[in-house]
Amino acid sequence: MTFELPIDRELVRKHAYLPVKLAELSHLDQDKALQLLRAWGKGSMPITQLWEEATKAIAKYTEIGSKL
Amino acid sequence: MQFTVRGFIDEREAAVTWNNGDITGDEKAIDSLRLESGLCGELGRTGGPYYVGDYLDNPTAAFLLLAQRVFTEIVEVAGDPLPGADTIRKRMNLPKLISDLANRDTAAALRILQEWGEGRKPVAQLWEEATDALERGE
Repeated sequence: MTFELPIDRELVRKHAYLPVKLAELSHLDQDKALQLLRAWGKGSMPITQLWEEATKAIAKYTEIGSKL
Repeated sequence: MQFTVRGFIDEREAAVTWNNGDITGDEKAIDSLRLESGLCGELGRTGGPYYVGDYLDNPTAAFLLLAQRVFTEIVEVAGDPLPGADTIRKRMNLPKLISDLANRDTAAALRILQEWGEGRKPVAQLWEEATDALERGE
């Protein structure tokens, strides 16, 4: 049997590294990290979106840091 | 060897039993298990290293697919002991456990999340600490 569906290896990677991202974010913005963790725990947000939001939130602080 | 995985697929309760390669239980779960097994076969050909052979004939491979691709939450794994099953179940359910803890003890939840993400403690230990902290809060 063959499947035409694409295999999303990115998704596997995001799933494995999400705790790393959230831990990083928690040092910068506790509330945002907890909000994303809750969404993950409840299953109310897909992994890709959790990953993007965490990355975006971390980038915001990194940008602020680079401008100081 | 046989084992039964009980849990949730999104909001729906489901159970699947693996008995020496025979798979019975929730039909939708079995359908998606077979689909995932086919996908992994493809993945094994292009990348690897993955299990070689029919995933569903191997109890550990079948369990991994059920845990990581089919069920969204595992409540119980019953039957013959399966190496690694307990750790996988804990890892899967850790986000929910830590967020439950965050509702009672934010500082403890943050500490455990950081220890997890920074690889400072194994999942089984984090699980125990989060469970203890939750019980203390009750």
